[in-house]
Amino acid sequence: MWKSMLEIETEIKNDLTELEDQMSQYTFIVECGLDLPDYPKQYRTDEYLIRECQVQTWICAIYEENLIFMGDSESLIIRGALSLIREIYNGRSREEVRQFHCTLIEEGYFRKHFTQEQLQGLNAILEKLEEKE
Amino acid sequence: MRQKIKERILRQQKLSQNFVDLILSQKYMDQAEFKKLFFAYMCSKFSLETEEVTTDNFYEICQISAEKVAKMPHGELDAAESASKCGGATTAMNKKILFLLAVNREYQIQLDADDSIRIDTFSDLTDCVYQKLIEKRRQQDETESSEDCYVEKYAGN
Repeated sequence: MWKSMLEIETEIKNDLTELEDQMSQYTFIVECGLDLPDYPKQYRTDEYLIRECQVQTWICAIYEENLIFMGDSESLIIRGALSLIREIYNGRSREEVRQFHCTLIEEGYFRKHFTQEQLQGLNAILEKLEEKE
Repeated sequence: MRQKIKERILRQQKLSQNFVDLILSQKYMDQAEFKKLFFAYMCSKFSLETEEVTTDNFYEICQISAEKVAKMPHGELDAAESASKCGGATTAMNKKILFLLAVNREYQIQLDADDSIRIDTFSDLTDCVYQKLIEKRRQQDETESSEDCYVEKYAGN
């Protein structure tokens, strides 16, 4: 079934709310990271490095017909966040991405699980995705 | 995939809650019995089978749990995360802290910072939680008995 970006984001928020306690939410995010496809070696370069992240994190977002989102991180919890962000953004048209604003961070769903530096890194990733034209 | 992960975690949550209920429902439990149940509780929290827990070192147990999720050989995940500069927090360390917070909340006790520094092994943790529960039960009994005295005193008048 086709779902909009907002619907997927809402599902993720509902999952986190349903899991309730912090340990379960943390496990959930980390385990979602296992779903992240292998990151191509040719994009593991400085150009794709997220400089705001303390830990090495790469993302590559390119438009063919739709957005192709790839990402990887040395941190398991960041990989989890990348996997959830990918679920929302990957395969979307420019128009869909333009009209969408991800609120997982600003509404606090990720706040408890990441350090301030990690949140800055994740924000930078979202900004990068949302400014892609 | 996401749904399956959530459902599995919710099942683990239910299982661990059963152990909490069982422990808290007992008026008195000897320490050996408590250790058995608390171990089962910890395994369900960490999604570990009992035979996967091959050490008493509590941090290592957290590592085994994180490595199981990451499907990595023992020691590799921690080494990789420690080498990176992600705020100094490894997945195993985060799991340890979150587990202690869950114990505080679910058993309604207070493991403080000093306790968590002292806790090196699962046995240390079990002893500490057991003592806190005994103390909590003692305080509850005192409160109940003083309430009984109050009722008896005024019912008599």
